[in-house]
Amino acid sequence: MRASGPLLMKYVTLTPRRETMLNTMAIAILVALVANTAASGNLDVITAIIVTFLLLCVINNIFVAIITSMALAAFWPYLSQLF
Amino acid sequence: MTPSSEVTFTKNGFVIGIKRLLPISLFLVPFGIGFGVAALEKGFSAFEAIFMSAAVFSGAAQFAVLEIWHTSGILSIIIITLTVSIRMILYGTALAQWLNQLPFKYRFLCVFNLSDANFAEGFLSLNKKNERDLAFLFGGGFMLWFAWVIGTIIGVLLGNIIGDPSTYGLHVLMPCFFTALVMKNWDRKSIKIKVLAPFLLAIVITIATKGILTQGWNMIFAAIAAGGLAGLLHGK
Repeated sequence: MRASGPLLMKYVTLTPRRETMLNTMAIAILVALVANTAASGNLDVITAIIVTFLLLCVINNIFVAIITSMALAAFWPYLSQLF
Repeated sequence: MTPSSEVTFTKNGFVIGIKRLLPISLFLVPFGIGFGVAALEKGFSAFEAIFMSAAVFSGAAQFAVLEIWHTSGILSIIIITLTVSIRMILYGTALAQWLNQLPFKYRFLCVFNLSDANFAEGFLSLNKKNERDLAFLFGGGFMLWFAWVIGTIIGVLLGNIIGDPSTYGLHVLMPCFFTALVMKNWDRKSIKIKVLAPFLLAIVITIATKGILTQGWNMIFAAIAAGGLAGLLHGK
């Protein structure tokens, strides 16, 4: 896959439309994986996904967002007893 | 810059690549640890997990495989892995005008460990800073790969000790990591319906066909439909 780009450019013209389609497919498969997990996941998984999303909107730091969400999931059994 | 600008491949460029990507590489180690632990939890052996990290070197693709490993057939696993990694084609095409000037063995070394981070750094150096030593792509990629494999090794060693990963919240690492990758690729300054519509379609198709299609294929169809819609909405 990594080597195919330079090879491809010798034979194919990558139009803006084709580039958009490839880019969208690459991100859409990740969106689909998240949706698939959320659809079958437990409440702690769904909450962790939402917290990651919201934190990334606010602080834009992947590492902090994921670690916070993992901590939330780790403490979920105790948190769910509180509410 | 012109495509005919002369490029080189030197040891010095390799070392520069390592130095530039070292800080980012350190952030990869915890994710490698997470992958190692998760892989053991999904039934991989320590060797298989480490070999996968060394050979595939793609966090998104590797976590995706773990997510569907027990529920999908080999064909859907291959297609999902390729689709997740499809952006590598785009990276390669963007660098092609420089890479195609190198002999095959150097070209191979440059793209072997190509990833988001060393592409971004490499493309910037080539395009904006007018640097022409392509060995920094190899050096940077090697540094990232090394950190990822070391993280995985630590993860599989820890995985045998820590027991149930959900105690540490590791069971949410995969979906949160994917969410972060999606957010990283989302240009929030231009929130347009024609940009968001394909991803909303992907979500709807994934969930609507979850019980109908074999696990894995619902996501493949969702991604293909999203790509098709994006192409239609793009105009020309």
